[in-house]
Amino acid sequence: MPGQFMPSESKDSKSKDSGSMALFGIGLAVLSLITVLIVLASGSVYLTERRLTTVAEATALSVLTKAKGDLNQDLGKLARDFLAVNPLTGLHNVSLVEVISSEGKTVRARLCSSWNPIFVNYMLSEVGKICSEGLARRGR
Amino acid sequence: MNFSTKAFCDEGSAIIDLIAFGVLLQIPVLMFATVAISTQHQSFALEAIARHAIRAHTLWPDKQNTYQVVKQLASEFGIPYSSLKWELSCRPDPDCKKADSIATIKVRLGELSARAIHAL
Repeated sequence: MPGQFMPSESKDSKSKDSGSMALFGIGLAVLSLITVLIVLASGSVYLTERRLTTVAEATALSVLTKAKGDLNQDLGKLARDFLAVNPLTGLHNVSLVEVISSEGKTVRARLCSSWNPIFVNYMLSEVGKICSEGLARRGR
Repeated sequence: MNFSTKAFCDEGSAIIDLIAFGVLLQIPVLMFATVAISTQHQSFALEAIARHAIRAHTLWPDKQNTYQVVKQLASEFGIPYSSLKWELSCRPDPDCKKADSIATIKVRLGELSARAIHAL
């Protein structure tokens, strides 16, 4: 009969009830803080990726324009020139991974940068590398 | 009912402990989250405004048109246009009408700023 075991179970749980509630409260607050920081870090990653995509698209467009139709030349140099001249606000350690052309009409620029969150000083800073790419095409 | 308590001790009221540590400690966390998420929302908004405005300007290089785009985007993101500052530059052609020109827009809201570049 399950009821026969009740008194002893009740006695056991009562003896294990002792302890401070304060630790639970502090634990909950710490958990909330960590959740908030993770949400902020995710937003920051997304923001960096958007910025990098904007720069990658501009780079691809610039290379396409500067190449003047000759996509067999060194496109990397054109891209590096563009990146050197233009200030890249909000991005850190931007590196050009590759600039390639396909079909002689499309330019694909791929960039990477290190991720810096909005609040640079918290523990998740300088953890990752984010890459993005942009394409530009001339003609059909 | 017992309303006295001692921190980190078995004795005392669990209700007081719960309110003090469970609820009151959450308030600063909530305040921090509100401010930080609001700042991040503004960063997202500035980034989107800069990105779309520069695209609009390269498609139709007319400052009045770009002004309308910025104004509309700001209202969609819930940012008052009067608090927003933006400047548009183009080089080597200041009118942004020649090929090879690079258009740059910088959007500012208080201490936050976003910049977008686009090649013509």
